[in-house]
Amino acid sequence: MEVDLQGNAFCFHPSGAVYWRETRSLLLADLHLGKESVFQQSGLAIPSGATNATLRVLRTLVQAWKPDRVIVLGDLLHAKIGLTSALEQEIVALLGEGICREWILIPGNHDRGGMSALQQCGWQIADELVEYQGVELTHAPASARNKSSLLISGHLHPSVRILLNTREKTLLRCFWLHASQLILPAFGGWTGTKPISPASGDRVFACADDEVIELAT
Amino acid sequence: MRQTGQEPFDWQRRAWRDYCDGFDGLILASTGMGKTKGAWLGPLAQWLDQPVAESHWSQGPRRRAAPPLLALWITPLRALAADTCQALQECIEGLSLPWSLEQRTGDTSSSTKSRQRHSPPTSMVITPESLTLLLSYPESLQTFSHLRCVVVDEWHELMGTKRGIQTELALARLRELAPNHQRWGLSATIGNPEFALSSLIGTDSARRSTILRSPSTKAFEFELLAPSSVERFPWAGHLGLAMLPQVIDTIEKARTTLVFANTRNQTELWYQSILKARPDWAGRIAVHHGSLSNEIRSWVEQALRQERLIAVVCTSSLDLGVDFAPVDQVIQIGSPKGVARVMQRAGRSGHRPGLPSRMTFVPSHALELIEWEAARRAITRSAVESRTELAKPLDCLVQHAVTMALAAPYTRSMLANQVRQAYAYRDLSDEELDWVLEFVTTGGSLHAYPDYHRVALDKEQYQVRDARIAKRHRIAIGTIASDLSIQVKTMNGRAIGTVEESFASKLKTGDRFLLGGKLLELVILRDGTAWVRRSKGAPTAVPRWMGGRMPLSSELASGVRALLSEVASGTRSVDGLRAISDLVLIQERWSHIPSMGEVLVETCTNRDGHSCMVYPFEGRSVSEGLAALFAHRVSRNEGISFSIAVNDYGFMIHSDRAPRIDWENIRDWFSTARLEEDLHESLNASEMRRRVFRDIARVSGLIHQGAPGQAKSSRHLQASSSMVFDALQQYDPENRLLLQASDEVARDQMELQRMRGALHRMQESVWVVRHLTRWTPFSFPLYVERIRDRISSESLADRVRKAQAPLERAAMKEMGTESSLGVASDGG
Repeated sequence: MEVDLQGNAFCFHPSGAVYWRETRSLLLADLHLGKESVFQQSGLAIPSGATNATLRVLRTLVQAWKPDRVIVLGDLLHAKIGLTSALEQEIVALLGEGICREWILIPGNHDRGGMSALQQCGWQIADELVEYQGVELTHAPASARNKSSLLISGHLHPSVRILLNTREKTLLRCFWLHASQLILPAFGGWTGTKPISPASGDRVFACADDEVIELAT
Repeated sequence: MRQTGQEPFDWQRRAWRDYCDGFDGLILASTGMGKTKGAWLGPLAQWLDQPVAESHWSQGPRRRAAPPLLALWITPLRALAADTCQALQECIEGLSLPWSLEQRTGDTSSSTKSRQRHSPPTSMVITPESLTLLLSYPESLQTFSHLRCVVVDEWHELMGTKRGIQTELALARLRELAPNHQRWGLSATIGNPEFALSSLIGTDSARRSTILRSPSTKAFEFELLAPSSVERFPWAGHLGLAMLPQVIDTIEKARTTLVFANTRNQTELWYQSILKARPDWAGRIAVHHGSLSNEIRSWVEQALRQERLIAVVCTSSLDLGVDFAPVDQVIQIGSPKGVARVMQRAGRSGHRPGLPSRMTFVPSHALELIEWEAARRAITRSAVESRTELAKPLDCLVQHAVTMALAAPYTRSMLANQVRQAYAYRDLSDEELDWVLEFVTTGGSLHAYPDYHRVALDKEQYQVRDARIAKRHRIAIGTIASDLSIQVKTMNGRAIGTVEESFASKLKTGDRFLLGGKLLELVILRDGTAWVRRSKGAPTAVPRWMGGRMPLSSELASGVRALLSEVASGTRSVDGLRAISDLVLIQERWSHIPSMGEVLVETCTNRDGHSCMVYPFEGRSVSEGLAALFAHRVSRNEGISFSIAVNDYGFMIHSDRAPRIDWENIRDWFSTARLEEDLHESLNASEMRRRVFRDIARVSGLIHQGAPGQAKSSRHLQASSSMVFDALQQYDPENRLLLQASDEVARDQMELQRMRGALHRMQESVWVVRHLTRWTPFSFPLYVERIRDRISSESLADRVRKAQAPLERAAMKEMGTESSLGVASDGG
């Protein structure tokens, strides 16, 4: 779905990623790679699969758009112990494919501890708040914003409640445009979500299977 | 006993003699009939004959030496523990035994618990969770080596539940640690005592066993608060509050009263209404239910014991315990839905042997009068419900396998032998056991769980080596199931109780709701806690708790069908039924009253759309299952969508246009062929399986349960059971815990067996179909159920009144009666 924000052309993808046409950058947030492994190591039998699925989707997007850079807005990893050697190999393989040259990570709360290992895999670690071509990028949304320029972030894992018919309700991940903040859904395949209460004037874009649909508020 | 002026009953003497002769046993007795002494004096007498040498006695700090652990008294409720200890202690002192007695529950301090592990008292009152926890320590091998006797109290409460299974597994382990111990169980009257005995003693007992019944010398006195005019169009909840003045009169007649309501919501409503009508009773009436904090509940129980309260409005939370408190009478609001429950609750009054049990029934809608009458008749025939069996749930076995691996290493065959001793697992197959062992060591399939470890397998020995995993497991065992709940606390930190997460997440600051008898206003919802303050005014939100509605038991359901049949055939000689004769007449005239061997189907076509009602009279869960089945089968045929409403008597499926059904042959839609497959498809397996999976995930350790205060450090391990369910479905769909979820939904939720039975019966019946354009006394409650979900309770009352008015006028015209018969005038 194409969305124009403050003169910038963004393409919202149902996987939760955003392609920013002017800068040829792919933005995504909250992958939480290695989450199943973290659980398993603590004795909780969660089957592996989501991390690899997430990486597969990312690879497909990179091959399709061929961006100049990929920017992850925090929580690339779920926890340091989740970065097993198997996962490191996968990440190195993905970055090594050469289609995209710059892989930038804006640190999130879950990434702590994994920075140096990620750098060795090829990630550039940026500051917690980056200003790029008039747009600000960070991990966690600001609680109150008085600037008019756009702030893109993640961290919340937003989702929206939808009534299908009189009985069935469902929760869909969504992009949330609130004041001058755009909050991305979690890109990771196995992440929890937080239902939002949109205010009037907000724009909500729900991710439904293979489409992004703007909802009437 | 003679000192207190009590003469032992014959059955008590039998119990003591049988115990000393080496029997295992089950005592069936209602509360207040002396079952505590019946079970306890046997082991005490045994001590007098066979004391244990002082060299084996343990010495604790600040305690004189006492014999080692000889007797365990297992109780399902920790609230009961203190009272039980008192009663047991009296016996010990009465016989001047050197025994020490302590309790061990979730409320016991950790210093006491750790002292008990190393130097246990002679006898312990303990909950199943605390026993399991004790069995997880390596010291347990010594702790229980002298054990002679285990008594399980309120066994009927534990049977057929996962806690009961946990108890069975703990007992199987105790059999290994102390092969010669004796087991006795105490239970209320149930329909299948042999099953109760078998599940208590297990498969491998060398002892003879017996079932002893205390003859019910307790007389039952039942009173019915009949309304002066009964609503012709009964809908749940409405009639009840109209009876408030009569209820208050009844409360005034005695010193202490327990007022039982069927849902937590109802208790809050009634408490408020009573308080508003009698403000002079403030501080002398209270509310008690499972979602209130421990502090509040203990306060109420204590006050009851001390006879400081006139009345307590409660749910099944007070079905057990507070045994030693004088309750003069019991009021039951709304149908208790089961015969055993009536007996148990009525038995709470007049608690000394010899005094009659009194219960006053307050119907909440007219059809409940039939249920009440059926219940009364069933009691005279002692036709009590049977407890159903929970067949070898694997999640409990998973938990047990890890618990055992914490205590001591074991081999596969050791575990197999131990576990198959538990009656619930007598048929455990090798594949199932292998799966469990695979699951706890590798997660199940190696490629799906590469980094998993929990139990280590080393040279055929299973053992937990990781201290953090051990710690987490012990914390998890200690917790009893609770739905996703949010704590409700006042701004100064006082815990009021809990509400469901689904309710709390929809609250806005300023919303007001009733809890613990007080009107609370939400200040802020943060960190899993709803912070509130006292407020004035009217509630703006109504909490709904999930474990809400008990379905009508099959025993009671068949009683209702039989009574209806009598009514249909014209036998209307019973007092209670006279009160609803108007209703019955209208149903008869406008539609039909089914007799035995008939199934009634109604259709109603009006501006609203097309509704089809079927009345199996088989309880709510069967109604739910049959509704889903029917709607699914019909919509599969033609692409039509339905909304569904159910109650204990039947169900309604509603659509905008009429479905293409051949009404002459409607029975074909209810065939038993492909029942399970169709049910499975219709349930949208997901929703129900997810709900059921919550408990499975908790028990088998798939979700992390932190101890209070640990939230921050383990935030990275938080995942909802729903997420875990998704992960399993996608990446390990053969996982047996998912299968267990499907089984549980079919078996428990839908009561598959009961549904099959109902369908067979319906196939043998004559189907009577009536096509109507207006609601009948049978269908009106279903109509209300259907619209209930969509609107708040305020406008619900108005909506119903509006719908009721024309029907009321039509009925009155037919009956030619005065307008004194009318809608009861309260806000519902």
